[in-house]
Amino acid sequence: MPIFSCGMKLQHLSLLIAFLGVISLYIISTLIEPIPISLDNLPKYEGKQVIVQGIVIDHYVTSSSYGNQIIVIQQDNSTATIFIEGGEKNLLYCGDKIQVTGKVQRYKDKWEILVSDTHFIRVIQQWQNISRPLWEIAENPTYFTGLNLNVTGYIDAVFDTYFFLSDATGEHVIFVTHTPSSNISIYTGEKIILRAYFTYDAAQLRYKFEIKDENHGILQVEEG
Amino acid sequence: MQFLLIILFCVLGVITGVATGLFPGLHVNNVALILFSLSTVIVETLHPLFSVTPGVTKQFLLVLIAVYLIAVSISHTFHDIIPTTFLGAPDEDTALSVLPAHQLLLEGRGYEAVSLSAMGSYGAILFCFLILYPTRFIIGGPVFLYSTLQEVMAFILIAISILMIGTEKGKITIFGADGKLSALIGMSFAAFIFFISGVFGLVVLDFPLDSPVGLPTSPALLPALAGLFGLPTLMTSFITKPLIPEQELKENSLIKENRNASLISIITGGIAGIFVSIFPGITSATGTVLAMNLRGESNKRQTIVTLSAVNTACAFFVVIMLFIVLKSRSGATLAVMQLITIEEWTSFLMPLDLIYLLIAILLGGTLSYFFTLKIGKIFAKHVTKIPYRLLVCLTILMIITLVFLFTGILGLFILFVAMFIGLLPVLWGVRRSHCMGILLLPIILYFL
Repeated sequence: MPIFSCGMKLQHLSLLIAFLGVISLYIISTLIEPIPISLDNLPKYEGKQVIVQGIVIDHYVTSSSYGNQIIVIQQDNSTATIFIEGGEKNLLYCGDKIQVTGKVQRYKDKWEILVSDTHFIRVIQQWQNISRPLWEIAENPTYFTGLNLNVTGYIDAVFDTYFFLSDATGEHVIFVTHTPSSNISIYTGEKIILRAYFTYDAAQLRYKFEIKDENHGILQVEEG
Repeated sequence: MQFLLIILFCVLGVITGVATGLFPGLHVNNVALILFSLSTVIVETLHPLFSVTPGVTKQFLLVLIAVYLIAVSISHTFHDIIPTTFLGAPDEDTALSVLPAHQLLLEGRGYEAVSLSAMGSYGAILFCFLILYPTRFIIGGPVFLYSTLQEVMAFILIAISILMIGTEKGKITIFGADGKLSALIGMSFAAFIFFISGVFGLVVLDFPLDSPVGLPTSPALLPALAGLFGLPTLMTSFITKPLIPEQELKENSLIKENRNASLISIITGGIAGIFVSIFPGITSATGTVLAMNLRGESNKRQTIVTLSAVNTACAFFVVIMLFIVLKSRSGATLAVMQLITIEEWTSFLMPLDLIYLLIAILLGGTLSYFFTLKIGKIFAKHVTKIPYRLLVCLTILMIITLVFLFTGILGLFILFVAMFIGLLPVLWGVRRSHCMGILLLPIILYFL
């Protein structure tokens, strides 16, 4: 039995207002879109749904028994952690440019974006499709360290397991290593697109590219 | 010194829990939110005071805040029965007990309702300690029940939802329907409330809300749950103007008369509490319905004992689950998770931080038991002198004010719509727990 007796009018009125209320809230929700922001503005949007973009610089699943997915993205000089509870791991590579829609929250004094579903992470550009000139990498090498990069340049000198890549002016030259089994066939002066992993070689005190997995390689470019 | 500080923060937490428990609308989650946002300031302020004390590091001060929060959440589960009984003003966790407790109040046995609840809550703490290790080994390794359950989570939640709707006993006699037809309409209406609450949840749960006065932004759950469960009951209390008789101050007679039934209520309530702490979207009210179905018997006294046991067992086990499955299932544990580094409990020995939190639960529970009886007695003595309608009216105003302060105008609109959804079961005579569709439906869809 109802807790207090009332006329049918109140029962039906409640039903009507509840129904119309939910519809109104739905309409409002469609008008409130997540806000696109840059990573350095995260603190201003705590608790809000936002859209951010950045380059993937790290991607792993936590080591606990109930692994969660962590993606670290970078935009200019800011970074942010994307947290996805459980779920299927997104197929991402360091260097991919992604767009994330999620809620900004502070976790242990760091800002992170909580994503409710893996569908809210979209690869805008795969790293293979983002071409970087050598001069850009030379200006800020730490920014690109640990990323897969796609660089166009000219073969400068070729050896058994390494070669040098330079830009068109010869102003910037970088060391590139590969395994003997990579079966690379190149010659000095050839124009290529290099897809490789950019890293710092502490032993040699220099930055270098590594061709080390199946996503890496060299594409010959026909010069027009 | 470390131990003394834990005791001190625990006592402070219990006192805060008295406040959050007594004032409907002032939920422990809000305290957790405020405290978390102030944690850095608190640590920076307190640290110089203890700089010469060995072992009291900044990290330990964060543990103390966590201890405080857990003590608040445990104390809250004891004291929230007092406004539920004397004002008919429950929060979402005690919504099911408002009827039996309020009925006892109208029979002059309000204090008995409070003492039954305190017994249920404290009994649940003791029961939870007893089953702590078995639960650890079943939920975590080597059995890893949680991992197995995660794979079928959506289906379990669907089964629970169907059980909730299928066990609806309310009859709706519109269009001259009676007998089985009216029961069927009641069940259909329960399903309707479940779905409209679910759609409401899907729409509002990710709403970007803002505090107009710069308080930490509260999730849309605050206005939504206050509207679904708090306001409709308060309005009912306001409209019905119950005549409250002088209250008897007898300790609950149930212990002697029906000890076994109470024991079963505590055990089933405790198990349901574990269940509630594992599954997202399942609340104490749902847990109570399951526990009452499980024990196959119900009267108003046992409903109160069971619900209080579920409520407290849930507050206990959300802490344990935090360390076993590394998931937070309450506002308080979410804040704890952000304050301290949670070490997964994988071996026989417990992580040290969990031991601190268990001390808070045991000590907080014991203190809360006596505080609840004492405060309940004071309320029972003076309830006839309380300007009842004024108090209910002030409580409604306080909820509205809190919602506005934490979530702004949009939060007030959510509260308004939620209130009308929450009024549907009250006006049509079906269980309020169907409104938990607000969490269940979105979570089911998430796991599907």
